[in-house]
Amino acid sequence: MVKVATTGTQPPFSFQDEYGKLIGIDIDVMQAIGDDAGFAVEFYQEPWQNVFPSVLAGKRDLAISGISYSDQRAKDYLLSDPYLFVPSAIMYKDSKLNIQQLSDLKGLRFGGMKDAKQINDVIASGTPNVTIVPTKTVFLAYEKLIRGEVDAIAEDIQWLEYTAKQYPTQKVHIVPYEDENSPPANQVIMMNKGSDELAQKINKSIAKLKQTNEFVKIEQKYLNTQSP
Amino acid sequence: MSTNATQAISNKAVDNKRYQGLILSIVAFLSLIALLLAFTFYTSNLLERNAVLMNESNRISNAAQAVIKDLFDLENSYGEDMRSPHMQTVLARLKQNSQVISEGLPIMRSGGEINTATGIVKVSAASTQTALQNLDIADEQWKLLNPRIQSYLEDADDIQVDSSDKLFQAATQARTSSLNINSALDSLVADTASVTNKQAATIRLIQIIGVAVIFTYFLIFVFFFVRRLRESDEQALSAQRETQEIMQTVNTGLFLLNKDLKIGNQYSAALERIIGTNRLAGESLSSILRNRISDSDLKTAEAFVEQLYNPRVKEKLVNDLNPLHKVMLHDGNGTSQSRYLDFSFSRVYDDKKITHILVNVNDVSDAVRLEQRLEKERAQNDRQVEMLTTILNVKPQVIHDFITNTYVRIEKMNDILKNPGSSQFELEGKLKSIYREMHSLKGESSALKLHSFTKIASEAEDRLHSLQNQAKLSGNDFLPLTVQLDELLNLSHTIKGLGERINATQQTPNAYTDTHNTLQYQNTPNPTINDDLMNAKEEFGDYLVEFGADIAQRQGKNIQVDISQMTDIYIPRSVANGVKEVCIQLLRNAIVHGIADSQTRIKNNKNPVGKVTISFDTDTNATDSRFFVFTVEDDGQGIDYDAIREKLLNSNKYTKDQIAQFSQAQLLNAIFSSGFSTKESADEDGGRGVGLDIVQERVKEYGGKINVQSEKGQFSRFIVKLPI
Repeated sequence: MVKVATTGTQPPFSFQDEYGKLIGIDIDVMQAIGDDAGFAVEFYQEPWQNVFPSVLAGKRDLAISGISYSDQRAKDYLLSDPYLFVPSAIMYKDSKLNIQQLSDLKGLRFGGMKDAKQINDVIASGTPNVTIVPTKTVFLAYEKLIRGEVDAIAEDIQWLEYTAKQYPTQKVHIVPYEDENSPPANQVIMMNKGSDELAQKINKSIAKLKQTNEFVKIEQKYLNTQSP
Repeated sequence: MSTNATQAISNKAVDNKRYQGLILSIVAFLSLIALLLAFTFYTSNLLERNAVLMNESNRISNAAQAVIKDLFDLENSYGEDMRSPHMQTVLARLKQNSQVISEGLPIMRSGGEINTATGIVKVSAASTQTALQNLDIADEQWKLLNPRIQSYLEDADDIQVDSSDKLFQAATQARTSSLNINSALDSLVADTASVTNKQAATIRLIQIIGVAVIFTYFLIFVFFFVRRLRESDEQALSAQRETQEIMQTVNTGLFLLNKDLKIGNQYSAALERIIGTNRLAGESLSSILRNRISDSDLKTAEAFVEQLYNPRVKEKLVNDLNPLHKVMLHDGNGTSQSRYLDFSFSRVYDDKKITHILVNVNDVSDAVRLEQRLEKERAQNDRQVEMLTTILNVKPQVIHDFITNTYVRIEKMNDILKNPGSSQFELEGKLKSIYREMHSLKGESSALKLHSFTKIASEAEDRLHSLQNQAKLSGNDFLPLTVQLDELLNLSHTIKGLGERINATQQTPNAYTDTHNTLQYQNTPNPTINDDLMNAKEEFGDYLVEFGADIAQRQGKNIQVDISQMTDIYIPRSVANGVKEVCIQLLRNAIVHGIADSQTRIKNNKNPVGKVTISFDTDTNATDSRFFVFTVEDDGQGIDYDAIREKLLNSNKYTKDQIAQFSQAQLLNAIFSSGFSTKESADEDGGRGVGLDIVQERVKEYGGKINVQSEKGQFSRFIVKLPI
């Protein structure tokens, strides 16, 4: 029995259907891994702030919730092999801004989910005069963008595309700033250090499922057909 | 019985009255049940209304709880994409539940229809004070909460507007309002429930009382009516028993007949005996009477019954046409005496409609037989009167002579019977002699219209005739004759007695007391007449004329007897009897055989009135005083020798050749022989072939002669000479 922590508020990776049941790419991926590796999976909805601490505290065995690779994370936790390519992207509304890369955010208000990789990326890029507005959820950052409270937000490209599709009347521009070779563009499963046995099983299944295109199928399912 | 009759008449009225009570009771009973049902219907409706109200209250209460839950959910899920399925569901539910509350509360207050998941429900307005107060509370709270929810819902979907404050406001208000609404509605439900419970208790009580009343009423009803029904059943049963007893005992056949002539199921026991069959119930009268009465009677009877069913035909009138009044019944076995039945028909009315025909059958055989016997006796009396008339009309001397002759003849016949001789020849001789005497007696009595004599003599003749045809005779064959001789003797005594009595009354009143006058009558029959001579015309001629007319009437012929030549002729007493006897036989012979009926005579160009002339020859008195001559002549068809030949041939005594060779004299001899007659059948006047036999016998007795002259189609003349 593997206890999985996930936010349930990150479409299309982890969110709820009309009955409050957890669905999404991460959920399906984890289920597929569990099925392949031969263990049962139990999902627990945790707010983003609590996702890592709950695993660290040993309350959950692992977390899968749109978690991107970062060297820091690799140092702090035990990370699985990447199961999905998730390049980070910038979304902005005003065409005049013409943002192409992180450095173009100079002098702009930037919104992002607190503690998310993208905020760290902006800080790490050293772009000057960026006002960083952290939000509780990614969607709240999107709302701020739409309401004009921030000029740009950054998030995984899948999320941005999914949300843009949900609100077709809101014209936005999405610009990815990472390529596939960049390790942070890859999504991983986070485990506590010492869960090597579990990590081994999971990595084995990920390799297998990648080969059988299982993950692509799951991604297709949510990105192409999921339009409420 | 009389009470029964009146009972029957007023039966209908009584029945109606009796059933009226029953019907009224049933109506009352049903009304009671209907009342209870109506009450139950009304109260269940009332209870249902309360139940609906409680349901509605609970529905709104649930909606209020759902509203607060969804508001909290939204608060918790703040920051989640509003387009996510989860959020969309929650928002939709919040909207829907708000609507439920907004619509439901006014309807609970004023009543109306609500669309629920299970269909349209009709809600009636809350009525109790408590309920209304609670509704007021709920309304008030909702009025605080609802605008906030609506305000949030307006912007919730719009990502460009921040609705978090509105959500917060709504949720905060919900914390108090929802609870208040719930508790108000709960107390409303509790109140309604308690009201309902009270109502239900009352209803149950009333229902129990109602059921008890109905049951009691039913018991009384059953007890009362069952008793009455049993009483009337008993009455009906005893009435039926009485009817049955009547039917069993009455000795006439009684039954009802319906339109199809079918006999009813009940009929008197006597009917089976009278009709002679026990398969009667439901049978058709026609099939029962078929072969028992004549077909024509049956047909008429069927038509008659049909007429009886015709209400326009008067019953009294049609009853006179009853064809089955004294109808003769042929019993199937045919051995017993035939019986006579009297069917009388009367209509049975029910309210002026003819429903049945009551038939009363009586066995009237005894009555009919009595009637027949009376008829016979009457005829006999008539004959006696007739005899009396004869005795009164005919000269006493004639009667006297007849009685004397009769005594003589009876004695003669007795002597013949007593005579020894048992050979076949001797017996045949006896038979012939007796036959002659009997025939003479018959002739004489017939001439005097003494029919009683004639009848007995005729019967005796019948017997004698049958003996004649018998191949072998024995002495015993004559025994029954003695009975008839006795009867004749008795009759003679009677006439003699009658004559004597009448004679007595004819005497002067003084002579009436004279006991000797009867002797006088016998000894001096007629003082005006010479002892030795008899006035032919007066004493005999008139009598012959009358006798001739009698025979002619009986034979259906038209005859005139001419005695004109008898005037002033006296017959010597010594031959008077012989003359009379022979004359009678010859006259009879002339009328029966000699003269044809009027039609034949007209055909033969003759006077339709036949004429028989009887003349006594006076001349011979002078020339040949030894003989008295008389002639009987008719203007008939003459002696038919061919008929004699044929008759002889039929008698099988002679061959055809022999007969062909017979001379006329021989043939005449044949007609004078005993038992010969050309007449086909015998009657009072002739046909037994004895008449001319007697003539021959008498003439022989007196030592006289007889001469026959005849011409075919013209006349026959018999001339008889008797020595004085």
